[in-house]
Amino acid sequence: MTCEDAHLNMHDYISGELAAEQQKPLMDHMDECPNCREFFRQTANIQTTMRDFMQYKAPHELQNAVSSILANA
Amino acid sequence: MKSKRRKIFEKEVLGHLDRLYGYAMHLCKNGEDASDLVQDTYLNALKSEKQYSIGTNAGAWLFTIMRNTFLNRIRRMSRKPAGMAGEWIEQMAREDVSELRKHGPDPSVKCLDNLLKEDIARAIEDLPDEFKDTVILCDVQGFSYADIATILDIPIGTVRSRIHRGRLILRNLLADWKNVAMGGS
Repeated sequence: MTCEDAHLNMHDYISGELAAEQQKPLMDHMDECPNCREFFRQTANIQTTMRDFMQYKAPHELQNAVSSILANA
Repeated sequence: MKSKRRKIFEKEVLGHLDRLYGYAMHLCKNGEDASDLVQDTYLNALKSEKQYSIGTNAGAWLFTIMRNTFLNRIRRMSRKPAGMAGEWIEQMAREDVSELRKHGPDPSVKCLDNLLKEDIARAIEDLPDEFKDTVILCDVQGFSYADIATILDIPIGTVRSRIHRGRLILRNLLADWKNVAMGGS
């Protein structure tokens, strides 16, 4: 696997979209290539951080308003 | 007396309230407008209730309704959605992917390990809208490429390329700012 292919596949892997049979070649490539390994680690870290930081909880007023919309329909 | 179908429908759509509010915050940029958009989304979902098959993909269905509701609101107000990208970021969005990758990995981007909420929020806001929507739906909301294609009404290949490119732009924005903050060139 080339680094170019690895970059494409690692984005799909992070998205949960990489087919099972393509995962081992990607992991094998990253075992051999420190640059791709580091790029993968950083990209996955950004995604995890973004997901952690951008979770919202609907305010109580909104929860009540939506419940009311559904109840009165 | 509510039908069994109706009770299941309510349970399925209510389960997505927090996610919808999060996406509405991304679209509207403030809590008041976001709450209004969420309520309009549920009202529109009720109007289209018969089009939804119980036990299928309520999340993608509701997010599609929310996006369409938001776009209709924007059209009525005749203004561009917030979050227009600066010229240099637009340039980065047009660059070849191989050019985007020139930023690393190298020792100077080790600083990407300690990201702050403000850095992430600023970088996402600076992404051009088409990349921002796709990255948020994938990386924050956890939708599949197929669901995102449905929500945004674009081909799945476009979803994939926007996610790849959007993440690279995001990474380069963060690397640039962090590098400057740490005294790099």
